[in-house]
Amino acid sequence: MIRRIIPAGLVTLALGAPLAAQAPSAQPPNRPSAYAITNTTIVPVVGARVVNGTVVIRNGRIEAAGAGVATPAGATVIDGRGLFVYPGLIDSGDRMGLTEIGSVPGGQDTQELGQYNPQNDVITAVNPSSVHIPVTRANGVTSAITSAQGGMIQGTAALIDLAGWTPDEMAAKSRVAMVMSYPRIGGGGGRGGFRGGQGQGGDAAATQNRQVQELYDYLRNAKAYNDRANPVPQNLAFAALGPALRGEVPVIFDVQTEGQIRGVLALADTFKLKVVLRGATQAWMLADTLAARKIPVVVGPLTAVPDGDAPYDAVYANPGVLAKAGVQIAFQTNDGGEGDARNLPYNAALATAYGLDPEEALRAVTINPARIWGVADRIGSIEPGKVANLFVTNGDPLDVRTQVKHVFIRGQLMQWDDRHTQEYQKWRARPRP
Amino acid sequence: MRLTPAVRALWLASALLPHATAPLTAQSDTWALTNARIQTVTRGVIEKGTILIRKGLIEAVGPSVPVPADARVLDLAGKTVTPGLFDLTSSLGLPTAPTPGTGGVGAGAPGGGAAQQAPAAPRQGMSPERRIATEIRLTATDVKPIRDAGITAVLVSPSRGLFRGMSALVPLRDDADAGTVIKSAVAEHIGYQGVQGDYPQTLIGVIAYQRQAFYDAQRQGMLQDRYRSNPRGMERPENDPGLEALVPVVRGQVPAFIEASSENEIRRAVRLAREFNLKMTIVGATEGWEALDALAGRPAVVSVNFPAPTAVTGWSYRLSQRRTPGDSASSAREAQKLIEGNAAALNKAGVKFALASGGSRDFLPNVRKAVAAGLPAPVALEALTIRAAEIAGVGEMLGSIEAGKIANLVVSNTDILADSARVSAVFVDGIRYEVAPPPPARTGSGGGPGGGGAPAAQVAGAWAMALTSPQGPLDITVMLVQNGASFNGTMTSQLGSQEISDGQITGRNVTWTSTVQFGGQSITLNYRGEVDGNRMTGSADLGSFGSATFTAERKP
Amino acid sequence: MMRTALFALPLAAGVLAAQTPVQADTSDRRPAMPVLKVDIPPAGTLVAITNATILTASHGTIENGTVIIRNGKIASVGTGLAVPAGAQVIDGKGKFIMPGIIDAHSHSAAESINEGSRSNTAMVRIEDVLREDAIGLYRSLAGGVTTLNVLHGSANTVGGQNAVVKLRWGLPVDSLLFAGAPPGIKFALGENVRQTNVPQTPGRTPRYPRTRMGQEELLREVFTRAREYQAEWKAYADATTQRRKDAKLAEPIPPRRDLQLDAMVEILEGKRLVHAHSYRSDEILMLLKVAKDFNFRIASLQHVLEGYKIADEIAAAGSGASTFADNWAYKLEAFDAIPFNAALMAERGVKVSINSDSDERARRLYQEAAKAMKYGGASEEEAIRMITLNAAWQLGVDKLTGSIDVGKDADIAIFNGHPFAPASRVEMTLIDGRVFFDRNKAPTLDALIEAIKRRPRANTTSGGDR
Repeated sequence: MIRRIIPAGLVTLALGAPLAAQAPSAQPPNRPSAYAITNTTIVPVVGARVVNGTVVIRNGRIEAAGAGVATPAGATVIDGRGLFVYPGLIDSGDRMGLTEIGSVPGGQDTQELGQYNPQNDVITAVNPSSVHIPVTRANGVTSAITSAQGGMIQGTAALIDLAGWTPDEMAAKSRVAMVMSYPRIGGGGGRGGFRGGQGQGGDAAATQNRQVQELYDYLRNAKAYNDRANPVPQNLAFAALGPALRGEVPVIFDVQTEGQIRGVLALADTFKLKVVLRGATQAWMLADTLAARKIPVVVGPLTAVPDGDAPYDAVYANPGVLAKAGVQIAFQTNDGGEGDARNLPYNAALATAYGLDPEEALRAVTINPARIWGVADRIGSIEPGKVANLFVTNGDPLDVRTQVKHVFIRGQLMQWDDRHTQEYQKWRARPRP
Repeated sequence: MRLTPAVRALWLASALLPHATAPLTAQSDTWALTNARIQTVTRGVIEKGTILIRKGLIEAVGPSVPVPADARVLDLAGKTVTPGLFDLTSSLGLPTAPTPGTGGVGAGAPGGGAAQQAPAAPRQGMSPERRIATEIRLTATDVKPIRDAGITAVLVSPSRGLFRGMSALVPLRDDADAGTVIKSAVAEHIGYQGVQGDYPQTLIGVIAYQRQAFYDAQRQGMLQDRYRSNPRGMERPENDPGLEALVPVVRGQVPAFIEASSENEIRRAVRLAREFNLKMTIVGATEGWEALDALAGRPAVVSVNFPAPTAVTGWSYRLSQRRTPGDSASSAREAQKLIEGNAAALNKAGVKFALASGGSRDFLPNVRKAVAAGLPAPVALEALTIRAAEIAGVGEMLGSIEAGKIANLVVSNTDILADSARVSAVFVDGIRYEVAPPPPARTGSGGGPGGGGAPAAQVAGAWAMALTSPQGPLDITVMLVQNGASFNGTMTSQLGSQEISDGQITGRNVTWTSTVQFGGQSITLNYRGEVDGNRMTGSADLGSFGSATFTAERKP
Repeated sequence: MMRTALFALPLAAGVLAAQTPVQADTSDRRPAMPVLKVDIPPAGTLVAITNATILTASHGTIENGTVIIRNGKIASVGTGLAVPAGAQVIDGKGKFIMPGIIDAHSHSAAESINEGSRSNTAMVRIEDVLREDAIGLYRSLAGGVTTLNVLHGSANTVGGQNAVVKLRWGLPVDSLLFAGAPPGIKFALGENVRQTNVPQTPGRTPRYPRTRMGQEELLREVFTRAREYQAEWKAYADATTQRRKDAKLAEPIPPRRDLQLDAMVEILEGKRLVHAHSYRSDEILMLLKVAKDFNFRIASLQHVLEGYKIADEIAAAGSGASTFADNWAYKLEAFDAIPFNAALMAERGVKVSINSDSDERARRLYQEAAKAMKYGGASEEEAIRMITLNAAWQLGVDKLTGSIDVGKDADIAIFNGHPFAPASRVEMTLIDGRVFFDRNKAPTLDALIEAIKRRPRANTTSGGDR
């Protein structure tokens, strides 16, 4: 079994040591590291709002947040009058850093060949200079779970903060989960109709069953491999599944249908996996089961049409149904590089129009994902001691009309250096005829 | 085989004369079919009568027709004679391999030396001048399976393309060829499939192409008329066989058969017909009930190749209505009623139509379904015979049992539309073709009654079954107790133990059901398997949970 | 003989046939049948929506307003209006109403979208291939959309003729056409047309043009040819007139009627609106110049993601711009797209609309339009206009719909909150005063869950816990 030994020094760094090295490109060396946002409304998410409060950021962390908090000397003061401070938003699924322009294959690292690639570590392919990173954080999305797609086992997912000179710096948790899928009868449910019947159903079902068998066989072999003390020859793919098989990291299952979800539950029981469902547009059918088994569900993107026979608002209303049943939900945009990751809060907003409580919607893009991904000690709410990933707005971030005024990642104030803001300012200044 | 223009002209000429003597009388005898129940279609039923056939024609028919001495007598007591049926939607005898898409002398042109003088190979699907009659190659093996069902004439046209060519009405004789064609140019067939690699590729292009072609044909006709009346000083019109073939179509002199099945296809066809005043017959009309207004006043060829409910216009409407959950199956049943009731609806609306297979292998069984869904049986029979003949332009020669008409007849044990009908003989142009009775029911799955099937397999014992379903694999122990051709027992797994019921064995095939509790509900599972010694393989229908496959080994 | 008369008035005939003037048949001639049919809403003879917040799109917001609809048209708008006796009353208390959303770039409702075999397919028509029963239409209706501009695809430089439709869900296909909408046509420039993003079929000659220069050349060629065609028919008309005066002259032979060139001539005569898919600033400027040289106006630039760079030029040309809110980076030509595009162009005087080009996005155009307020500070009413009146203007139907004004069609979307607010959704959608979508009657997920709960337990098909 391959163990990873993490040097103590790196541990400190990973927890956000007070280094200017955390900043993104083009930061002047003498950047201040203490800020105070004053006279502002603080939305901690885990507790009640505080009006007329102050948030103090120092050395990358939230030092204090509340009413009556003093502004430390030497801190850069940001007047927060009329503004709101929120924890940075967390997108629980996209291809951040893995894609630039969709039609240009050279910049795509979103999908590897083959069905079984547990040994692929996505963090190595994250491009810290991706133009999508500044564009996304400009709307207050400060962290993302990025991973590859396609196939049955995609490899690891990484939780990254959207700032950093190198992938390892960006990584809050470089191997936060293993990503898998589950076989599905092509075309989704409900369309069998009259003539669809036995003939067609038979072939598709046989294929699905074969794929299920292959998956079980693969995992059994991986488990057997990981149970041996010093396996020779080594199998990097099986070894990569070790942490998931031991329950040390969760397995994200990108699945949609009820059938797939049931299959995932059975698989999880067989191999004692810690499951997080993602996508899961039909999870509402099993809401009580999922709640009882405490399986978190990442829903989204809500910007997707329902399958087959589903009601017109099925995708929109799915999160509300799950939340009411007691399932812990988070949101993903599944953005493949079209600029949708920044629209994470608007996914949540669509859900609030169809039954999701707005407070729960906000939790689903902040503290819930922080808990699901095991980083609730670090981010997801505005509490002293946590890493200062937060943003300042002139209103509700779920409201499209709201504008973001400031974004902090790891206590560093982000510059408005994203491509869109730059082009806007440049072309707005084009002289009129 | 390349036809010289002279030979082709001869064949076409002979095709215009259905009474051509030389090829026909050489093979047909003089028959007297006696004591038959004669379904004339146009003149009622003669409960017991005689039909005289001579030189391929019905010489006489009636309750008491004297039998001439030179006639071969067939005593048809207990049998019914019906006019030979038509199928106006056939591609029999056409080459299946498409010629290349672009024009020019291409791979389609046969023969080396002939290639030089051969005209450009027609662009697949875009050759209105194509004469199907010259292309048909039929053998007895092609013809027999269709004729055995009682069909004696088929209208052959290509099944794909936008201007498919002029169809031919072909008798289902073993020696059918261009010389024996009943009618060599019935109609110009129009469809909606594009061509490969060039304009028009898609539906939207096809329709524009067709409209332009008709405008061009109008112009061509105008130019030709002018040139004919006074060529002096006028540039002669370009020689374009395709356009020339369309001139009589756009003038309403040659019928246009447009393949249109769904509601919108029907409306499109009608729009085209109205724009150019075509003499148009719709072929297909499987959603005719949705477009009764469009079909009014025109004859139609109605296909009984029923579409699936999910393919029918408006299927998705049910998603926008408040329906009960999981209503797909019941909606499908409702939709199926509409689909099968199509012909009945058209009949009720006064549309005159022929029934055709539409390419379905279940032509007559589907016609029976249409009757069961409300189409009056006499109307169905007319639709298979006289209406079809009229639509094909041969109503004077075929489609009913009347003196002087061509002797195309079907002999069956009862009414041809009855479920138990069995065809015993078919006459085409007066030539008799016998139809052998079907072989005894096969043993095995769906096994028929009586008459020595294979002995029932032995299934008793304990089986270790490995079942793989969409929800994962499952090991099940199956204990079976056999009783002749049935069995019962139990299935035990980590999900618990269930009783087996309805265990049936037919030869090597076994079926059974069991009810299991899963996810808080009772689900009935249907299993079917095949036994081979101590091994069984099969599948299980798990209802909403999909379908599973299994293998099982009997433990010693 | 009769045929020559047909060609005597060539252009008039051509124009008439090409336009196929359609009176939208809302007579519901088909009887409602179970299972494959939709309940057809009653005609909007007399409807009153009372006490709502009215976002008119043309003259501001009216609090506590009432709209009276007669025979499908808006008869009066204001506060304190009396509800006429016998009216179907829709209680708008707490609700926000806005003009029905107009999606200026759609490919829904068509069975065939792209005839890409030639570079100019101006003869193909979307109206020939419309379909009325695609579930995407219903979902858009449930998102407040009432009118679609159904366009040919972007496979070629000169594409096919469009169809403007209203989402009269359940009516036959001919009833979907928006009577009174002027005809239009699709042009496309850039990467899709050059086919450079897809592998070429081996053995097949690639289709010209493959560069942006070639696209300009092609446009100039086809319009030059169109002018010649126009001249040929004029010469014929003149010759016919001459012959009527002098029977000794030879009977003139009409030119060949070419459906493709008919459409191009209509563009030249300003009778057919051009909607041009375009991305890069250089290709847009090229198109505007070609249009100017041939004396016609581009009705709308579609996508126009770099429009913000040349907003002044677009405004000067009098063209509209129909764009995405914030999609970008999916193609090289979309790399310079910014979400501030709409607001920046609007600032410089361009009439901007926001479209979907997608069945999915069409359901939530109200959320997309709000982005114009966020990115670039467009006013609320301007943002509302981007999915209503501006789109109507681009399609030439702004006298008929696109705002809540007396005399216009009663195309209205009713929300349970401000359309731009997060928790808002569409409750009802009216077209010509008829309620084609009503959430109270629609199958929702909540209703499905309730029905599953109430259903007896045996043999479920979409079983599970709910």
